[in-house]
Amino acid sequence: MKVNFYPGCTLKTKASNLERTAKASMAILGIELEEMAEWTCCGANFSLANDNIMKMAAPIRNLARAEKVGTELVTICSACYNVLKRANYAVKNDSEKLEKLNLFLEDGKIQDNDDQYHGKVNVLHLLELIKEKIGFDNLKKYIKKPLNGLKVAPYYGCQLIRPQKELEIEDQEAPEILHNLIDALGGDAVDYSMDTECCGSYVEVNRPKEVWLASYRILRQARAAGAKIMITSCPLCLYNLDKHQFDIEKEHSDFKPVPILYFTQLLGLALGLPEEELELNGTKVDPRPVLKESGLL
Amino acid sequence: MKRIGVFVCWCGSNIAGTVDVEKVAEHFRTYPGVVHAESYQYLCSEPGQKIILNRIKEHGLKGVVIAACSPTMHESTFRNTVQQIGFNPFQLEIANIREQVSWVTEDKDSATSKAITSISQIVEKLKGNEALDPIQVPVTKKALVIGGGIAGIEAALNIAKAGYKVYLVEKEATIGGHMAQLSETFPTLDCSQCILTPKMVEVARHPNVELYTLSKVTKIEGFIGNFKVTVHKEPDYVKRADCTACGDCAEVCPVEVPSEFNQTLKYRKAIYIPSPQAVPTIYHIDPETCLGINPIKCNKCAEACERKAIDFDQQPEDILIEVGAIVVATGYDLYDKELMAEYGYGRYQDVIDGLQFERILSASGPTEGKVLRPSDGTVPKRVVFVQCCGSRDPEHHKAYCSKICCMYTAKHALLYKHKVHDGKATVFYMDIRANGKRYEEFVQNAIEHEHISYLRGRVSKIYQENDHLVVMGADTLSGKRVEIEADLVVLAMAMVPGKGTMELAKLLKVGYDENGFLNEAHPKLRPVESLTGGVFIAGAVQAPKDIPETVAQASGAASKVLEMFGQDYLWKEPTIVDVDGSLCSMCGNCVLVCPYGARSLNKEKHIVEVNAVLCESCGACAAACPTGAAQQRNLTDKQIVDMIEVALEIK
Ligand SMILES: Cc1cc2nc3c(=O)[nH]c(=O)nc-3n(C[C@H](O)[C@H](O)[C@H](O)COP(=O)(O)OP(=O)(O)OC[C@H]3O[C@@H](n4cnc5c(N)ncnc54)[C@H](O)[C@@H]3O)c2cc1C
Repeated sequence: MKVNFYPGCTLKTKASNLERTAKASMAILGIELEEMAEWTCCGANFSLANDNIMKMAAPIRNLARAEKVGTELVTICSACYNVLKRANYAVKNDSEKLEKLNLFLEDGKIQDNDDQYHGKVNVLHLLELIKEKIGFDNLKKYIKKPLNGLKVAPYYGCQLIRPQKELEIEDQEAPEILHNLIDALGGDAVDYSMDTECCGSYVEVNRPKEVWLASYRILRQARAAGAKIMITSCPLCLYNLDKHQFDIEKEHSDFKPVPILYFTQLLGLALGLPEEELELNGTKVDPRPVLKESGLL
Repeated sequence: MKRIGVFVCWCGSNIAGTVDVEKVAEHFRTYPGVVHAESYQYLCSEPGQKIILNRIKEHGLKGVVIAACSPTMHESTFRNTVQQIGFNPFQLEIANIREQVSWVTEDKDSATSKAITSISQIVEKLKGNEALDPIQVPVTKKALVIGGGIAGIEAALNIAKAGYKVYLVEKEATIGGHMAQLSETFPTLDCSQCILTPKMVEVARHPNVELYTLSKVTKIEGFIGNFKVTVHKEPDYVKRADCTACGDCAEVCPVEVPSEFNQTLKYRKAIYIPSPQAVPTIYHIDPETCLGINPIKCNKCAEACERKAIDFDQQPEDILIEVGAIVVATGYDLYDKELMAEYGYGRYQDVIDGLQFERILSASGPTEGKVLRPSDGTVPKRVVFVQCCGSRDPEHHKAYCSKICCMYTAKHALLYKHKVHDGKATVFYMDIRANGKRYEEFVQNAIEHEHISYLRGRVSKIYQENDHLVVMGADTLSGKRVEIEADLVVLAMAMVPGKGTMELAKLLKVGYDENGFLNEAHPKLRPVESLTGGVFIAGAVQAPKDIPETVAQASGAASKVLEMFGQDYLWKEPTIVDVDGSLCSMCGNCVLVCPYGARSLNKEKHIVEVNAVLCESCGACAAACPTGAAQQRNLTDKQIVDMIEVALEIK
C-alpha cells in the first residue's frame, strides 16, 4: 500500500535518520511512504493570531497539492503535523477562511497547475497510520527482535498532541499512543509525569539555561520511573533533550544521561533492521551501550 | 360583530421606546370590530387593570386584546382580572409586542408596523373565540418525593406535617444524600451529622411518610393531580423488622470492597450499613459483590445472625402508587476527576476530591477525624487546595461556576488548620465568590486568622516527586509561575447533576439545560416548578447550591404542593381538541400522534373519544387530521387562516 507522505524540511536535514528509519520500517510493514511531489515549507509554526490568515497559505498550499493525489497525507515531524493539521482544522470549520486562502493561492500561484483547496484531505501522523492501518496488536506479528521488556520513556512534547480539540489524536493530558507502541514492540513503557511537559522549544535560542532546566526535570522524572531510554517523534524535542545532558550531569551528580531516539529507530530495531540502518549515532548521548546491555544490538 | 377593545401597553420604555404606542392605538380605533383602543404605561399595574375593567363595562366589550409582553408572563394575570366582573377569560387574548417586537426590532417604524400586524392577527383570532369554561380535575392528595437528600427530606417533612401522605423514594440504602457525608458545614461549622440525623429519623418515622430505599421510579403515567407511578424496589436481603444492626453479619463476611459512603477511603463488606447513622438503620446485602446471594456458595452472614434476619429469597418488587404531585430532588455528583488527567487523580493516591476530604475530616470517617493522607497514613504538613476544577472552563469542561466551592474550600483549609496547627494550607483560586449571609466574613477569617495563603491562579499540572506532590501553577498577582510542594492535594471538582438525572427527566417529561440540570418553569418567578404541571424541583438537581439554599427551595416546592392540595379540584385550560363527528372518517391518525394517550377510537359508537383531562392542547392531532374534524377550541383552522390572511394583508 502506498500513502502520500509529507516529509518537511527537518527530515531532509538534521533529522534525516527519522525519515530513513520511518521509510525502512514501514516498508517491512508493507506500507510505502511515497513523498508527495512539489511540497514546500509547512509554515513551521501555527500562528496563534486568529486573523493571521497569510500564515496559513503555506500549509494550505501543500494540502491543496496533496488533495490532487488523495484524501490522506501522512507526516512524521511533530511540528509539520501540528501546523498542517491545525490549518486544515481552521479551514474545514470556517468556509470564509478557506475562501480567502484560496484567493491567496490563486493570486500567488507558484505553479500553473496549483489548484484550490476543498478541505478534503485528512492529515495523519505516522503513529496514527500505524495504529489505524496496522493496529498495535497486529504489529506484534512483524516483530523480529522484541525489546525484552526494555524500559522506555515515551515523550510526547506538545506539538503532537495539543490542542486536543483540533488534533484529536489523543487525550492531551494523558496520551497513550507512544505507550502502546512501546508495549507492542515488547518494551515496557514507563509512566512518568513529565511525558507531556514542555522541552523548552525555541527558548533554546536565547535562554538555553531554561531549556536545561526543562530537560533536567523531564529526564530526571523518566529516570526515576526506571527508564533506560526515551523516544519521541519531534526533532526539536530530541535536539533540546539530548543537547544539555552532559552539562546537567556536571551540575547534578545524581543525574544519569538518558539516550533519546526517534520512535522509528526503536520500531526499526524491533522489526529487525540492521544496526547500520538504524543510524544510532546522531545524538550526544549514545544509545548503543544501553541497547547492547539489554541484548538488543 | 363582537365588540372588541384593544389595550396597548407601554411597558415603561420597554415597548414604548421602540413602538409608537399611540399610533398603534389610533390605528385600531377604526379597525373593523374594534370599538375601543387605548395605550397605557403599565397595564399590569392596579390602575391599568382597573382601566380594562371600566372599559369593558363602559363599552360593553365582548372581547379584549392586550398588546403587551409574552402570554407566559401575564396572560393569567389579565384573565383572572376580567373574570372578577363575570367576563369570560377566554375572550381575552394577548398580542406579544414586547419579546417578539420591541425587544427584537431596532427601527421604530418597522417595530410599529410589526406591532400593528401582530395585534391585527390576535384581533382576527379573537373574533372566532368562544366563551369556554375551565375543565375540572380532581386531585389525589398524596405526594411523591424522588431523592432522599436534604432537599427530599425537607420537602417530604413539610408535606407530611401538613397532613398529607408522602412516598419518599431513595436509590441508595440510606437517605441523607451528600450532606450525610460532610464533616462540619459552613458558615457556622455545625456538624453535619448532628443537624441532619434528627431529620432523617423524623422523616422515616413520620406516620405520613412511606420510605422506599434501594428504589427507583421506573414508570410515570397520568397528569397533574393524578399520576400513576411505578417504583422498583431492590431487595435488602435482610428482614427489616428483625435486623438490630448489631453488625455480626458484616464481621464474618469475607468480601471487602471500597466503601461508597467513605468515597473509597475505607472498605466495607458485601453485607453492610453505609454509615452508623444510616436510615433505615439496617444492614443489607449488595448483590453485586456478595458471593452469590446463595447459601450454598457462602452462608456466613446468615449463620452469624442470631435473629435469623438474612433472607436470600427476597425478590425485587414493583410497587404502584398514585400521587397528585411529584418533587424531584435527586441532587448532584462531582465532575469526573479522571477527565482532568493533568491533576493525576487515580495516578497519585494523595490527590483527592472535596468529598473525600470531608470524609477525612469527619469524626465518623475512615481516619476518625484525624487528618491523615491516603498513601501512607501520615499527617500532611503541606496541603494545597485547588478551586474551580472543571468549573468556569468552557473550552474544556463546564462553563458555569459551581457556586459552593469557594466556601467549602475555605472551610476545608480552616478545619485543616484547626487540626494540624503547624500545617501549611495553600489555596489556588480564580476569584472568591462568597455571596451569602456571613460568607465573606467566613472566608476573610480563614485568610487572616488562620494564615491560609491564597494564590490567584490556575493549576496546570500536579505530579509526584519522591514522597510528595508538586503543584505547578500560576500566581497571576505576582505574574510568576509557581511550583508548590504538597503532601496532599484537594481538588474542588465541579458539581454536576446526579447520574441518571437525564433519564428521570425524560420519564417525567421535565426539561433540562445543556449541563443536564433540571429546568425551572421561570428562572425568577417560578423557581421550584417545572414546566410539567404537578412536577416540582428542589435542591442541587436544579443547579449547584449549598444547604441553606437547598432547604429554602425544598420548602418552596413543598408549599407549592400544599397549594395544590389545598384545592379539591384543579382547573385545566379548556382549549382542548374536540372532534366533529360529522366530519370524522375514523382514520385514527389523531390517536396515533397523540403523545398523551388522550384520544381513542370507539368503533362501536363510531367516534373518536377525547379525554379532556389528558389532553395537553398541543394540537398535534389537529394538524394530523385530514378532514378538519379535529379542531382545537379557540384555535380552529378558520381562525388560523384568518390570522395568516391578515398577516399577509390579503384580507
Ligand atoms: C465537598 C463538599 C462540601 C460541602 N460543604 C457544604 C457546607 O459546608 N455547607 C453547605 O451548606 N453545603 C455544603 N455542600 C453542599 C451540599 O452537599 C449540598 O448543598 C446538598 O447536599 C444538596 O442536597 P440535595 O438533597 O439537593 O442533593 P444530594 O445531597 O445529592 O441528595 C440527592 C439524593 O437523591 C438520591 N438520588 C439520586 N438520583 C436518584 C434517583 N434517580 N432515584 C432516587 N433517588 C435518587 C441520591 O442518592 C441522594 O440521596 C458541600 C458540597 C461538597 C461537594
